[in-house]
Amino acid sequence: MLENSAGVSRRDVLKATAGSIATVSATGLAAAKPEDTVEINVGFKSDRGRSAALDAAEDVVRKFPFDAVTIRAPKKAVTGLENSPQIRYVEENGEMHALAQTLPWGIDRVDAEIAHNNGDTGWGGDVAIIDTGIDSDHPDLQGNLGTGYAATSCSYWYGDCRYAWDDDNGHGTHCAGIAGAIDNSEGVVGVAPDITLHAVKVLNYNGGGSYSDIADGIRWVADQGYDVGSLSLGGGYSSAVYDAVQYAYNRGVTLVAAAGNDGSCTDCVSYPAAHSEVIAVSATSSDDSFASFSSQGPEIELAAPGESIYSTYTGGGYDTLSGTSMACPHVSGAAGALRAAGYGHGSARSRLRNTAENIGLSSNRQGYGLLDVASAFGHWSGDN
Amino acid sequence: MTLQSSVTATVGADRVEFEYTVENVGNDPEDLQFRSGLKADFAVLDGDVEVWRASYGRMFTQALQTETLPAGDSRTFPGAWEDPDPGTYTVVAELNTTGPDAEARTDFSV
Repeated sequence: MLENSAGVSRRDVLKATAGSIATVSATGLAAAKPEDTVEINVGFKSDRGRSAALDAAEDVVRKFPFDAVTIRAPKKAVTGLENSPQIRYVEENGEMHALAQTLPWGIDRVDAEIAHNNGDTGWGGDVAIIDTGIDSDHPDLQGNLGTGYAATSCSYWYGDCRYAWDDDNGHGTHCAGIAGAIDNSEGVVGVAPDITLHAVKVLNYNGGGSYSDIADGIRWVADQGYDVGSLSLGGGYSSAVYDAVQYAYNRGVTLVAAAGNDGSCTDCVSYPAAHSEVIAVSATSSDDSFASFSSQGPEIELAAPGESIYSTYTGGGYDTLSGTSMACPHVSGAAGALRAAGYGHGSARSRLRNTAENIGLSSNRQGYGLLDVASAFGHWSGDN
Repeated sequence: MTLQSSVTATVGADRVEFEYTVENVGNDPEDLQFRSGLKADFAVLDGDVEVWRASYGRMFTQALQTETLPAGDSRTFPGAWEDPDPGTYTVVAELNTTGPDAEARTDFSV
């Protein structure tokens, strides 16, 4: 059974972040960006005004018995309301302005936010998360979800299976958020916030899956013609999985996999990461040290953040997890963004290798180095 | 370490069912930090030769998961070997954690 399924509810996160926002509240509504969500009180003169306010709302916080509502709406919608003759007033609600979005340390460390600021957000790219599924109505993912496929189905008892590929574990949703959580005013942001994420469910609610189901998931991704297959899973050598890896590789899919969590061993990269067709990713901590749980070996190609990673979780929530599973989708998101920007199968991979940052670990631990998304796009990152 | 472990093998018509129990016999809670979606594994040995392993044929999520085992509590992991050949075997059960493997073994005949 999964023990971390409780997660942190979205509401708790919003509460928690409200405190930190107070520090920027002096800058007020005027400082919010057009896409930021702001919380406002709107007084209206008529039903038309009321409708205009509700139409503008992303969330309705409160409806008063008098002619006013409290809503959360994009900043850009506020101007329209202010100018409407049907609206009596628009005021900021207390000291809460833009709802915060957290920049997880891993996204920051690989300088993905610098790529975002330069417009490299993965728009048009396709990344398949080959995992336990993806929470199909997570507010930080839903807008980026494409198609889905279930080699094994979401468990009926889970009670929240809207699709067969829905996530009854949480792991796949977490990985999806690392690769491509939406850049909005809530939750987290992923490496490639405009990428299209495809849920490929090959692992069950316990986090395990058969070689055949995993091979079928990889096969499906290849048949769809997607850019990247992200494999935050591992185990022993499987001939069927290797056949599928070659099938996908030969059809131009960039495959990325977790190195494994076997820790203290020295040459123990698990499969499918150990195949030469696959980019094997080890895990680092926030101080750039090698994560104690991470597998290492000559197959390691890149290192990426994997310890205490905050990302999306089932039930619309968020959670902090550790593992090479978390390192893998950092690279998958970056590979997807490069493919979206026109880099081919081979050139995206060599770009990731050649721009990785040397963090001073042995090659069996860091491969070519730590993922550097900004450098991969040719932006100066300062390696901060 | 204050974990005590045991494994039982129940031989049925066409399968052997295993039950692996890890008990915290100490006075303090113990954290079990599992390395992956595979929390515990069973291997069946014929002499020194491994003839079956529960995790064989499967892959797992590669995220750590922590469970706290309160003092005096135990945690049981089930497993089943389908269609065994007749013979005398040893089953070895162990945790897949960052800490001790809490290995337990027992002999059985089919």
